[in-house]
Amino acid sequence: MDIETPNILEDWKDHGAKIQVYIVGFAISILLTLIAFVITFYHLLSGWENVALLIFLAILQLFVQLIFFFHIGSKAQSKWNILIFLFMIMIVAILVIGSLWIMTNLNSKMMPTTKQMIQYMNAQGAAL
Amino acid sequence: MSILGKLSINAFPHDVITLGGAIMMIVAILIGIFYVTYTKRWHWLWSEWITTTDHKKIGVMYIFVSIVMGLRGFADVLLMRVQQATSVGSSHGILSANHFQQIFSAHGVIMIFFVAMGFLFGIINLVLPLQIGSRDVAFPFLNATSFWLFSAGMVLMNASLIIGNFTYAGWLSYPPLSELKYSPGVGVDYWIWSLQVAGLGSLLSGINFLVTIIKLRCKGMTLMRMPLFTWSVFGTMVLVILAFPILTVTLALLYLDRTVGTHFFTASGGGNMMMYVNLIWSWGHPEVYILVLPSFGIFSEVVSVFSRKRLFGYRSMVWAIWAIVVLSFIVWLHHFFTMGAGSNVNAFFGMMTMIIAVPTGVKIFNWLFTMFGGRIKFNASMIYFLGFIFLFTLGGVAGVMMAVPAIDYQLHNSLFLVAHFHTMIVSGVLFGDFIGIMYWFPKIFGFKLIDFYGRVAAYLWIIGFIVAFGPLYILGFMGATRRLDHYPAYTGWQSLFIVAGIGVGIIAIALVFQFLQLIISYIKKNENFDTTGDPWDGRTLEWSTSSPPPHFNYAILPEVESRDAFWEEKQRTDKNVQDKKYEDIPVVKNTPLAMYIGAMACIFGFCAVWHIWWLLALSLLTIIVLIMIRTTDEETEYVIPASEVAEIDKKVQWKV
Amino acid sequence: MESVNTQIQQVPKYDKTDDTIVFGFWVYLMTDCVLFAALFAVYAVLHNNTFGGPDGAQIFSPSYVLVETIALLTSSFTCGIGLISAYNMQKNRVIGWFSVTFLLGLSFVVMEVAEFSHLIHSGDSFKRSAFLSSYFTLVGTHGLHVTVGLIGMLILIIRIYTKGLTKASVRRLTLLSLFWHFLDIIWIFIFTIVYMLGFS
Repeated sequence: MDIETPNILEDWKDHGAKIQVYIVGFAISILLTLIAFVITFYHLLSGWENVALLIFLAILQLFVQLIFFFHIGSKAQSKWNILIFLFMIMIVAILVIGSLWIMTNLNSKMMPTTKQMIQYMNAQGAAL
Repeated sequence: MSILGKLSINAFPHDVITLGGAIMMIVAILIGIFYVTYTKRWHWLWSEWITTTDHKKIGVMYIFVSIVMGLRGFADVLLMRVQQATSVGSSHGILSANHFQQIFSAHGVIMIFFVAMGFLFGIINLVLPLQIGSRDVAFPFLNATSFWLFSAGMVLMNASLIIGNFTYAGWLSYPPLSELKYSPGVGVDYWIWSLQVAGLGSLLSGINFLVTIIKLRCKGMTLMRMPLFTWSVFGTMVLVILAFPILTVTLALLYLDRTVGTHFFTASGGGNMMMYVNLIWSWGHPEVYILVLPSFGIFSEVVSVFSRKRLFGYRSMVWAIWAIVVLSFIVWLHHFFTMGAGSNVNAFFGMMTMIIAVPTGVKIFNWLFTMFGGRIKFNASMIYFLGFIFLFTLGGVAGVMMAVPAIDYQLHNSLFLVAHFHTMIVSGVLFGDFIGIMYWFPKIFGFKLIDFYGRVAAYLWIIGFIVAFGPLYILGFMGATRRLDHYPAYTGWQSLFIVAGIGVGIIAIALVFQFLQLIISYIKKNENFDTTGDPWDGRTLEWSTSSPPPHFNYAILPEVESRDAFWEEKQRTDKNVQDKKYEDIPVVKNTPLAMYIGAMACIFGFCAVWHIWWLLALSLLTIIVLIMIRTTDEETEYVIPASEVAEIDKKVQWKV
Repeated sequence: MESVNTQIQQVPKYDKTDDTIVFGFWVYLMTDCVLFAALFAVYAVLHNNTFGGPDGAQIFSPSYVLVETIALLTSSFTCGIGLISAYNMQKNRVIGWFSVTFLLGLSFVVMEVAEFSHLIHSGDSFKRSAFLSSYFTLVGTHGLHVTVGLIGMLILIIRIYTKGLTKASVRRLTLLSLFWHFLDIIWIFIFTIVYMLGFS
């Protein structure tokens, strides 16, 4: 490297690893977990809103943990870490969403359930 | 449950050809052992090669293993061509259907995992640290471990020839054929574990080289001053670290299905075999770009040096690499257009597949523009390169054809497809590797290869390839599918298969000339010593070292101010002789631990195949203990004192 | 050759910069993320294939999982406190906080093994359906990672107890903490996608 990066451990010691940081991070994480639990246990939501909120809470907690426990954004956490992390997230998204899209299409066309089959045939003009 | 799991005397081969192959392999190993013993070189082998952590030696070992495995893969080719040329009508050729299936499966696995990947990691090991002005890779011990894991996978692959059998379900072993019900033997398990073990080695190398490029570049070498080969390795390693975990998971799930009765890809129990195809190609498509990108990097280096001209379009070359890296993750469905995902899905992936041809096209134009107006040295490397331009473009266009889903419905799994991907791999990956080996050979071994034999080999490879695969393109259009062990006489295909066989014969002669090149160059090495370290009037940093470089590569780490740093240095007339400040250089010690880990991994894989659970647990425990021993070792390095560094440096003659 | 003045400088014994090692470990964690992503993809595709067997709502107990989650989250917290003590070279506190982390992690694993065991004995093992196969494998892989982390933690604690808090130990604790936090993040997604969504 042409640029001198500070020793990462010393930087964390001086900037990132402070007890207040961990306490706040811990508290928020517990809170988010409890919210998700309550929503689920008491069946407060259903359908797409349920899915969306729970996933949103999970992603929120991901950010909390990244910032408070992993010290993302601190000086020594070089831009390379963030870059590789973002690239990985992109690939993960492609893999998961892509697979879901592909497999949903494959399943409905190649291994349809009886219900799907009837729907399809009706769409073709049968009257089942 | 027997103490040896499923292993029994029945595991040894029964039929003539397999038995012959197994015996030949054992004889070859015995000859090797005998030779080493006769020339009393065990100590040398152990201390110079087996226990080494030096990236240059590790690179040589990778290439050696790849050449040996290439011979086995080529033997598979000969068998297949003979079979397909003779198995018509009432004749059924020389192989049973089951045996033929194992052979084409083994051929694919060997060529991709143990030849192409081996050459790739070998050349990267040889060149990368030298090119970025570093003393070694980021994690030398891990580097050695990666090589031994690669070798362990290779041993498992070869063991399947002697004990048991190999998968007959193709090089990707799709379920349900690869599930327990239809492949009750050990073949698929051998396939799973040799890939898992070798794949782990690849993944670790990916991490290692990525960290090396990001953290260990010499002073002044910003990203945009890196050589193109380094950039291409950078892109390749990003692909490796993101794609290989998918393979690990997929293989593990198939193994679970076969061993403990899960239902991931089974026909019943709610399994979905299409998910396997989806996952394996999510890895498989990035894999083919992993194979070809380093070769593109090699072309960039070599075309520039042998045209005596700066590479044209550096920035667009870098852009093209990253475009390929990103795009290679969103095209994978084109490997299964016909599985039935429907037109919306197929249309998206078809378009993406066509787009990915663009950055490759950018590269081809840039190479041609580099040659234009240059003073071209028409040696073996440039002949291979021109062969690549011609063949890769044609094969690539065939690929773009098949990117259209409607066309692919006709051509999927036909010999047209087979011809397409062989064109890509042979003219892209393999020619690139041949060029790389010839180009960097003098740097590593201190003498040049005799170009004559290389030129003959290059012409024979190109002609042989056209004769071997031209017929396959035509056969594909005529309706011939892949992996046929027999076909009816009325098809009229036999004459084309015979022509293809002749083509393979021409390639065999090309191989002979390649070996002649190695052997005769070695015998005549005194006439071809590289005394300057810079045999080609090179442009990049590795040519500023001696041939071979000292263990620590650079006595004094270079400082760089531009691209093609060494070239710029050579052009400068105002060279001021500076006081050279030598420093103590720390060097990682030799250690057998990496080889032991590889050996234990091999045993682990073998036990997983044959269900020898107690030994599996023991080998796993041993690996953990070995890792612990390594991490507790405080004395893994020794220091070469500055005075000794100065002495070594003075002995070297410099051109500059 | 013209003569060159050679000056010999003494450099301290080779100390591979922590930066490179920590960065390398970070890259490894990225690959582990992709590994889990593939397992999540499999779960997402197969989770409705219950093949006549039970679905998530029938076998998951949100309160049980909540206890597991709080245990793991707390262990992540205590791990962080332990790391601060390590940077302040406070050997005894390090051993204390990481021992607590170990116990919390161990209780997580014990609870998970108990859950698996219960399912297997009531006939709903990984062989029952694709849903159960993917559930056991995704959650089990995470549990396996946690177990490996616990073993590493134990070895580290013992080494620090016997050999003291060295620079290498501080670096290893950092790597362990990164690993531990990473596992916590993966668990958040398992908790949400498998258990919470599965129960709904």
